[in-house]
Amino acid sequence: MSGNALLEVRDLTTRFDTPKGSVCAVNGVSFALERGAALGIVGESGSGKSVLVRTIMNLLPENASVSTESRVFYDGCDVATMAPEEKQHLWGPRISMIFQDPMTALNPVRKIGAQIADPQRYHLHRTKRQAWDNAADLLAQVGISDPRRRLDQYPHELSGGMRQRVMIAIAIGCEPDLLIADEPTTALDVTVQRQILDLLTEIQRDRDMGLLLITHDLGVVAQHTDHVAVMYAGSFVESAPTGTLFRNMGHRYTSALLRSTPHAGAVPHTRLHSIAGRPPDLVNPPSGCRFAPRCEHTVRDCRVPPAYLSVGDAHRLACHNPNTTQVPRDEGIVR
Amino acid sequence: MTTTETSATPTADVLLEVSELEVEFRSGRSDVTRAVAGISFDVRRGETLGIVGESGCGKSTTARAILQLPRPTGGTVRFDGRDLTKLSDAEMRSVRRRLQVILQDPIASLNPRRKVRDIVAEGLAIWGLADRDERVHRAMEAVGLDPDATGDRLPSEFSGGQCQRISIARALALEPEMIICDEPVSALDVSVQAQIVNLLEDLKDQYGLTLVFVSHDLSVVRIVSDRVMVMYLGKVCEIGPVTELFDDPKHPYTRMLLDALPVPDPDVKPESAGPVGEMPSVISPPTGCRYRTRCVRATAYCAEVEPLPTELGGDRYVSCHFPLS
Repeated sequence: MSGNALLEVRDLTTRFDTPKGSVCAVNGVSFALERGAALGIVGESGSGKSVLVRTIMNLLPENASVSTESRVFYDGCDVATMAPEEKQHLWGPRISMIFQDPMTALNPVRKIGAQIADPQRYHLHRTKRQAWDNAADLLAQVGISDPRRRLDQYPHELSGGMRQRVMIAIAIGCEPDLLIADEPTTALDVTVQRQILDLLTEIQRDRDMGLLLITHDLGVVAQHTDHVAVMYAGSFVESAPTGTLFRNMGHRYTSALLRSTPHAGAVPHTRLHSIAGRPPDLVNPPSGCRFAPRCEHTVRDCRVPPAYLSVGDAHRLACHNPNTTQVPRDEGIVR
Repeated sequence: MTTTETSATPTADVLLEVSELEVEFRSGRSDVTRAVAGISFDVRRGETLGIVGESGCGKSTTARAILQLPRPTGGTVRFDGRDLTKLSDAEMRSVRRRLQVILQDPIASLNPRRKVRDIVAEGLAIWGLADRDERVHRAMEAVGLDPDATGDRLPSEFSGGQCQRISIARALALEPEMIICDEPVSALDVSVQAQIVNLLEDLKDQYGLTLVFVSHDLSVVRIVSDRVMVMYLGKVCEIGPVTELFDDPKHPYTRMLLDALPVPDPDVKPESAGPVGEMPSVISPPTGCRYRTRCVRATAYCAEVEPLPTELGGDRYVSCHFPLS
């Protein structure tokens, strides 16, 4: 299996040492992503989705530690066993990343052109001239008008949406096989969000890239991914092909999350389905199913952590008492 | 301004009447940014008016101008018949008892060094109102906080959702008639957002509140609003009852906003091509209709003449030369 997958993560566990104790932010996550596919990871704040991708990208702070059983395979190769110079040209050119806040991710005192050209000069050993020419092409590809003039501008001269386009241009500059986008549109307005997501999907399809899209928004994954994994309190609780997941939500958290999302077709003043309480404290997580304290459908077995089992058709689930029938849409929703 | 001055006996059910509101900010030495460029609207007693638009459209500035924070540079804001723009600071203070606010960042809007009980009681303490403890108790229970267990703790001990409950309790303690909610759930996670939205809806019924609900999230606005106002670059595009406005938008901008929403259903394919361009700078807005640079229906006429709000019937108003049919 690891021979084919572009990225395979096996049993990944990341802990943080904090003054309050050890926090297990990612707890035994496994998944594989094929070339040309888009995987969405959905979760609320604190679910561990950003720590997961930062572990893959080797961008963890000093107080973090990754367990020894954790394995990340890139194109069948165990990243831990790679030679240093091989790793040096892995993160950035082969696996590239876009961050949530395009203002803080860009260097405010360097020209746009230099920021796009730098990785190409470093990783691909292009000349300054080649890299800047390519930067102009990239800006045109990500939909920025008058790219030659933009190369000489600074980030503050651009709008939030434009800056995110520049981030994408930097990320695809070395023609990566895998692009990780961590909440790429959370800081943007809906109209700009739609433009950026459409652009990412177009680039992913044109270049046959793998895309790992991290988001808290079920609407975003529904429209822009092939496969979805739902994360809660550090673990995957459900994953399935996007169509299957939305038709057949097994996990009680997944369906509760969808039903608490306000819908543009809802009848005004209908009550939203809310999930009681809040995500658990990961210093002292609940001993059994981590969602059990907030779940309306607990059974005796929920005192024991549920196994993450296959329920068919690439659909996996960690729940003792899953939804058996199709999830009823909120009564208020009209189409 | 003078015309609205004379015709200003508000109809019985209008609690807030905003007319030709203008807010200008100085930017640089001689530039003036008109964040809100002459808008008029009413808020009726007992309703929720949703205000939506992209960042920079002036929706938060409008909300703050109602509260006189800062005072608008032009136009009138009549609250229950009194023009707030003409009041002295002392007079304005007394109005604030009846006109409260909930802000976007629940943690930043609470004093980190004060106990929850004192934060909720602050307004009451300023007014020296009797039965303060009882009112604080009531307000905290109303928002789902246990006064005995939480009253003596500090805001830093609470999550974002709980802090927003504290902000709501603080606003509620004075038993206001109107609360201005400026992006009250935007900083919260989906599951917590639903709790706060439901809470605001319950409190509105229970206390007979009138709400102005500012948000960039159209789905949330649809749930909480009775009427909706769509803003773009400091102007009003469209005002109307929520269901009609969402299901049958008349302004091309409203249509574009709705089409851009990601639908949480992979079987629903997104509308056509998606939004065009970005919002121009508010420092140098386009002539005529401000939306014309992104509008597929725009003609030369739109560049010359600014469209004025036109009544369409059914309580709907649209500012467009070529409204959608």
